[in-house]
Formats: sequence, C-alpha cells, structure tokens
Amino acid sequence: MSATSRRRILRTEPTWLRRGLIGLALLLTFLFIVLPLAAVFIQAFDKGWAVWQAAVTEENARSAILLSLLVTGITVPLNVVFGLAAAWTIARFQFKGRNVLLTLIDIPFGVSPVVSGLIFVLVFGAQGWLGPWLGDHDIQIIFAVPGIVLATVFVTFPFVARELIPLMQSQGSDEEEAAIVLGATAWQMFRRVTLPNIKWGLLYGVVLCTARSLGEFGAVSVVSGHIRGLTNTIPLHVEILYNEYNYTAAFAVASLLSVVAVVTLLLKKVLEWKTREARV
Amino acid sequence: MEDAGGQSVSIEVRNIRKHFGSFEVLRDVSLRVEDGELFALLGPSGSGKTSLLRIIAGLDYPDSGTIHFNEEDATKAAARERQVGFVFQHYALFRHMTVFENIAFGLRVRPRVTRPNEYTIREKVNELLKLIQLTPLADRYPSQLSGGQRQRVALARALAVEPKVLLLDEPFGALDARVRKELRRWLRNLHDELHVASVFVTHDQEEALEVADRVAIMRLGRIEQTGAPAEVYDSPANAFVYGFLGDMTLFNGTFVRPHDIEISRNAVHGPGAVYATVRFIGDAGGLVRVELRREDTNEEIKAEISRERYRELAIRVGDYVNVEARHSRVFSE
Repeated sequence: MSATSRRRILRTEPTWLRRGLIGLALLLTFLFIVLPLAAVFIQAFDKGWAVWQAAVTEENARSAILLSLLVTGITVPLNVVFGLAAAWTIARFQFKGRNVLLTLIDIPFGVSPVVSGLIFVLVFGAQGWLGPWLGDHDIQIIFAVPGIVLATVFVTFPFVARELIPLMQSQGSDEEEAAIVLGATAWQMFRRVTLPNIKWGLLYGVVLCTARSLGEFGAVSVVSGHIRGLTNTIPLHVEILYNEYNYTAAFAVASLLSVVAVVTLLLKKVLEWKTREARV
Repeated sequence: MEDAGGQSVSIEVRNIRKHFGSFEVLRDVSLRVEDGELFALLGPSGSGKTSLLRIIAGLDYPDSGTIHFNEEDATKAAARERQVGFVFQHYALFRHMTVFENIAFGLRVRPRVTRPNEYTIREKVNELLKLIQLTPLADRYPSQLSGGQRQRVALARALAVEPKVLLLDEPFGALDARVRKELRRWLRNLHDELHVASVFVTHDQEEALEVADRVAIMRLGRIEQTGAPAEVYDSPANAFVYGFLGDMTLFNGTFVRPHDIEISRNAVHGPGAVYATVRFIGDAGGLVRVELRREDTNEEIKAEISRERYRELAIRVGDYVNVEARHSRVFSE
C-alpha cells in the first residue's frame, strides 16, 4: 500500500469510530475532572453561602490560609532566585557536572512528597543529624514553620528552573553578548535583555510554583505536626476537617484550592501562548 | 556622517593561541590591521576565523598571546571596555525592542556621566536610521524585518557607540545572493566614509577579494597568507590558498585555473599539450564549463572558455581535442 493511500484511509476513519472516540474522551474528562470539581463546589455550598463563609473565616481556617500564604510568599521568591541562577548556569555555560546538576534539579519531581518530608525530619528532627545541635540552640525547624517552608521549597524547586532552561537554551546567548559589547554592565544586560526575553516563561514557572506551594500536602504533612492554628496549611486543614466528618467545612476550604487550580489553569494557557510567542 | 570623535585605531594580534578541550582552534596567529583598513579573515568553516574575531572583541580570551589597539595592550580588557562594534552572524537584535531602541541601546546603557541626553540620543539614532535607509521602519520589531534590513539595523546599532574598531562575523552569510551583492558594495562605501579599522569574517572568497583592502587566508587555526586581494590571488603562497581562492584543476602534475586551460582543434601538438575527449559541457552562464578526460592518463581536466571561443570551436561531447595550459603553478608542500 502506498503512503498516500494509507494516509487517506487514516484520515477517513468511519464516522461511528471517530464520534465514539471523541465521545469516550469527553465522557472520561467529565467523569474524572469536571464532575469531581463540580462536586467540590456543590458540597461546599450545600448548606448555603453563610455556612461556607463561616467555614472559611473560622479562626483555624484563617490561620491555615495565612500560613499557606506566608509559606508561598517565602517559597516563590526563593525559587525564582534559585531557578534563575540554575537556568543561567545550565543554559549559558558548558562545564563538568552540568548533567548531574540537571538531574539534581529534577529529583523533587521523582521523589514521593512523603519521602521529601522525611528527608527533612531525618536531618533537622529531634532524632536527626542536626537535631541535638538545633535543640541546644533552641531552634525548631521540624513541626514548625521553617520546616514547612523547607519542604515546600524542596518540592517546588524544579518549576522555575525547568521552565527557563529550554527557553534560555533556545534563545541562545547572542543578544546578551551583543549587549555586553555595546557597553552594558552585567546587571543592565540582565535587566534590559535577558529578563524581557524570559519574562513569560518566568511567570509561567511562578504560577506553577505558587499553585504547588499552596496545594502541597505530602511533604508538608510529614514535617508540620498538624498543630491547629500554628502549623496547619490549607490542605492539612482540609484533611483534619474531613477526618472529623465536617464535610461541608472541608469542602468549603477545599473550594478555595479549587479556585486556585482553575485560575492557574487559565493563567497557564495564556502564559504558554505568550512564551511560544517569545521563543520565535 | 560626521566623525564622532572616537579616533580610529590599528589592531594588532600577536601570537594568539586558543584551544577548546583538546581541539586547537588558533595556533600562533599574528596579524596587523591598519587604521582605516577593511580587512577580511577568509577561510573554510573550522579554520578559527570566528574564534579570532571573538577574541579581538573580548567575547573570548586567548590561552596565550596579546591583542593591541593602537599599540596598547587590551588583552585583559573586558568586552564592554574595548569600544568595539560587533555585528553578529545572525544579527542578535534585541527581539523585544523596536529598531529605534535597538540602535539606541549602546547609548542608553552608558554610565550617567557620559550618557547623552534624550534629545541627543534621538538625533543620533535618527541620523543612523537615515544612513541605513530605514527611517520609516523605526517602530518595527526585528521579527518584522527582512534579512537585509536586520543586517543594516545590526550595523547601525554597532555604529551608534562610535566604535574604535568594527568587527563583522559573516556579515552577509544568511542573505540571498542578490541582497548579498548589494550590501557588499554598500558596506564598502560605508567603510570608506567612516574610515574605521574593520575586520570581517567570511568563507566566501569572492566576497573577501571584492570588498577587502587586505585578506588573511586561514586554515586549521593558522594564517596561510596575508596580502592585498590581487597579491594573494596572483601569487598564492601554497596550493591551499590557490585552491581556496578559485577553482583549480590538476594538469601534468601542476595546478591550473580552469580558465587558463586552452582547448583547440589544432593537429599541431606543442610541448606539454595533451589529447583529451570532451566528457561534459555546461553552457549556462557567462563562461562555458568543459570537462575533459586525458587520452593517455585518463585524468579529469576542468576548463572554462568564453562563449565566443565555444562557438568558434563548435565542440560536442565525445569530441577529440588538443589541451594545454597557459599558466600553471607548482607548490612544494
């Protein structure tokens, strides 16, 4: 059979098969994505707006929201700096150990979040390597905010770097060299040439990093200690409410995370489109 | 264009060596570009010409050897201090800036003390836009320009900082044949106006010989010969230079330019002449290319004859002719 005739046959799948496949895809999307998402909101507003509002503004919920925002507020800027530095190093220099560094950046993607949390317990926990020293100096990391930040930073580490590396590699260093030859300082080059070229990619990384920081459960769960009003983040608070059979409140708080997810998705689409534009 | 005060300088490269890993890119390269000279670095890819240009610009550093601008050692100076204009092979225009802002960049990043005011910057950029004949396109972005237009913007951007030295990496490499020829002449005229020591890298011998005051032919990290175009073309230092500067064919163990091969139907057989059969005739273009095979040794010979001569001879594929060389060269290598 010749290539052209085969292509024609491929293009003219029987109508029933085409419609069937599309229908199946839509059905699965509806069953596994749309329906659960809708369920969250239906459950959340099951007992009305007032109950939802009460659940979200209740003291423990408020402190969980504040903690999540605090952790995200620390994590995202840190990962922007780390991500930029790592992407710059990998995209602009050839050196021994470059591939090792690339692999190291990916480790958080490969490791189960629970393990990520345990790593920090092993290092900073009371029984851990640095535990005695930290105890002597009255510094608490595990079961406290610093531990939650560490675990979140670890889990979200690859987002910014992973987004920037291919972008910076495809853009090359010609424009940066041109800036330097024209008399720009390193900072001027970064501000006026590098940053504008990668801004959409960077923003995309920030959006993903933010969403994950707010939503991270596994790693944070291990290091947090679940102290109400102190070390509970939004996802941990949802779990506690759920375990206490307080479904409406659990779903009310969960609806906040769902909104974040939907907004992230929309931003992601817009930024993907902008990044592709910048790459040309 | 008025002379912008940046006094022009000579460039001297002394005993530069450079290697990447185990590969030696430059092996003891020395050359001198005089003030106001347009100098071509000519060589096949991998000959080290771009590496040498980048070292002159300060974008790379040599393992050993020195770079001098006006006898002053600039080897350790950073790229941004050297005041060179560099035109990149693929232009490297700032994609998020307009043509105007691209050209203004070098002025805007100056330290506050030496930075011209907004009015002066505008004047200067507008003057350069006029020079490159792109005034109407000042607000366009690089992606909206043709290759030739981008090339001119890249040149204007480099000139805006009033460089002491102008360096161009394959300036016409990515353009189609017609635009290339136009820009070539334009660059030559522009250079005569600016009178800045300029070095351009090319792998196109025709381009180098037509545009440059002097040419250095490079191979495998070495300079094989330096001289004026006529000089290197007429008295090449070795077989490589001879072969690189034009077509050549082997005839009786010597090198001959195809246009120096004489084809005749004479029965008279002079010394050094041989009999050959016509194998192929390419008669498109100004000259007619003829490929022949010697009767005695079966060696292939390439010849180029004028259309006039072709008509006169009225040769056809398979004809039996007399072949001799007008000039030939022997190189000991």
